[in-house]
Amino acid sequence: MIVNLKRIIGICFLLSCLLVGTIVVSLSLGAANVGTAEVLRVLMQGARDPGFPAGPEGLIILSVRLPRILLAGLVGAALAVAGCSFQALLRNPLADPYILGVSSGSALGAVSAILAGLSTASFGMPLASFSGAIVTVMLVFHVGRVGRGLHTNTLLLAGVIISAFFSAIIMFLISVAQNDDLSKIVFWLMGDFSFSNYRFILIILPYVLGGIGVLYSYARGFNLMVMGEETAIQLGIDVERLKKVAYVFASLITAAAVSVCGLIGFVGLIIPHAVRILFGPDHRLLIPASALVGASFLICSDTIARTIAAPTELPVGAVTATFGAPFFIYLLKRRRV
Amino acid sequence: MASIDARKISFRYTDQWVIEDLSFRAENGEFWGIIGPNGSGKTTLLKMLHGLLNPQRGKVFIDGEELRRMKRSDIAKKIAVVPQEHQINFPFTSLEVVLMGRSPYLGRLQFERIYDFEVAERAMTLTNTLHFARRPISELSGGERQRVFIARALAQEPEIILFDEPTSNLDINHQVEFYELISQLNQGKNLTILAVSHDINLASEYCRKILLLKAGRIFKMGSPREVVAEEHISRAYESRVLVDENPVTGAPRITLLRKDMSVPHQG
Repeated sequence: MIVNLKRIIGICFLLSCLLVGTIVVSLSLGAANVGTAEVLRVLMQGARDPGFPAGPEGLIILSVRLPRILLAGLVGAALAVAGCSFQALLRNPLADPYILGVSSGSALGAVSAILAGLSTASFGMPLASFSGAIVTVMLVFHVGRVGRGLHTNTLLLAGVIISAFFSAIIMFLISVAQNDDLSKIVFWLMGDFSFSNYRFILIILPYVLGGIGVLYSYARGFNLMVMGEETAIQLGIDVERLKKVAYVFASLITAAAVSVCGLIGFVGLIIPHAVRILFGPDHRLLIPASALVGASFLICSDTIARTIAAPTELPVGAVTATFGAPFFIYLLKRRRV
Repeated sequence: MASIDARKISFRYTDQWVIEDLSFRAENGEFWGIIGPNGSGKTTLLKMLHGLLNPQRGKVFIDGEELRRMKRSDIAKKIAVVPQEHQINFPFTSLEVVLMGRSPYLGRLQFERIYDFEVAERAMTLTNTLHFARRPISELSGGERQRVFIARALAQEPEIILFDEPTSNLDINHQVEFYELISQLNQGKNLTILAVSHDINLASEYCRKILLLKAGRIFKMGSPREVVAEEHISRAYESRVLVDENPVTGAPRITLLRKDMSVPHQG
């Protein structure tokens, strides 16, 4: 199907409805069961009068569940769009946001922070993990640069090697960690939204929305890029700039997302792929649709993570993989080859 | 109106010149075949002629304007390139691929206009690809995909089209079909065409000018009759060939010879 503005708006409207539905249902689920009607009433009242004392249900919904759900949605959108961009940059539909080493850098930052006893400081973990990610991004960029251009194969190799090096350090740190640090590390490495609050949302919101906006402005360039670098140049695209923008901004939104919740796998790989199978490969539709589907998907996954074995919480990364992989296989099988 | 003028251009990847001091001019509406043995610099030359590589010495001019100073999108409005067969992992449909040819005419956030669809449709009609417009290019055969890429090049509304070994993956029927199509475009739309070719016989049959390269320099250039001659071909390719005439069209034709065969005298 040919992509035009009408089609993009139509599909994004439907996906937005899906997202809102997901949020409402997710708000009603949890240890204290609240009906969806009650959820809507609390949301309405909260929107009309933010200072109104909302009672126990209101407190649970507005102060506990809503920030967590919004954060999960934001992270899901960020990872899905970063996945789209890395797939276009590397011309490989199986690339994911962590492929160039952002994950290992932020993990190293986070694990170091836990071991240094900073995990209880208010912004200790996000700051440490974001710094680790940014250092890695700069390092990989520097190694992957050939002359004045970015060489995608070199970039990929640089990412893999730097990842391996950081993973080795992380292994070492884990082997010397104490027991309670260890469980914090494990939860961080598999993703965890239990520390969500509104301040986290406000901090990553500009990075994620700004990054998605910048990447979206290159959407048509991404279409040409996946046809081959030379083809994109021959069709008038400034490919060197496109590659740098894609790399820097996709890494940035990944780093921002990971810094507040740890490493959540699968979203950045499966969502763009599934959306491409459903709506086609044109990035002008793929990017916004992936953002919306990614948000809904991660909210669902986190809801399952916090409810299925309550009162125990599962790491959300385990849920995304468990439910994501079979869905992915179904999509692959369904596609006419 | 659309000429390519290379003046004493040289290029090297490392320390060995791949193209050295080459000067060459293709006038508007000409149909050039670029031939030469492997490593003679054909593809490098083609890349310099549309600014994918910049010569370290010398300059390339398109209609008198220096290529290096032109904007990418302006080059793309004048010169289209049909690539060698390559793998594409993303399931774009043929029509989407052809519409990409309109890219140099669109703003960054602009969608294709009615006119762009009309241009794409005309290009697909000319290349006989309209009936699989909605099929993903990954599902097409080599010959079909090739025609889609030609349609994309036409959608750029260029004055010059460059082909990099266009027939290397095609069967003989598709090779002939390909050359029929591009000579039709050359004559009907007055497009300037340069095609790097491995097939000397097809080049000799269809191209009106031939450029024979060897070791980064022009070995011989001129009409097929001037270039495709036994002494030039056998010396440039360092192999034994027999050149006679195509019995139907009279174009020069080469026959490869085994090492142990002697060249018969022609009567």
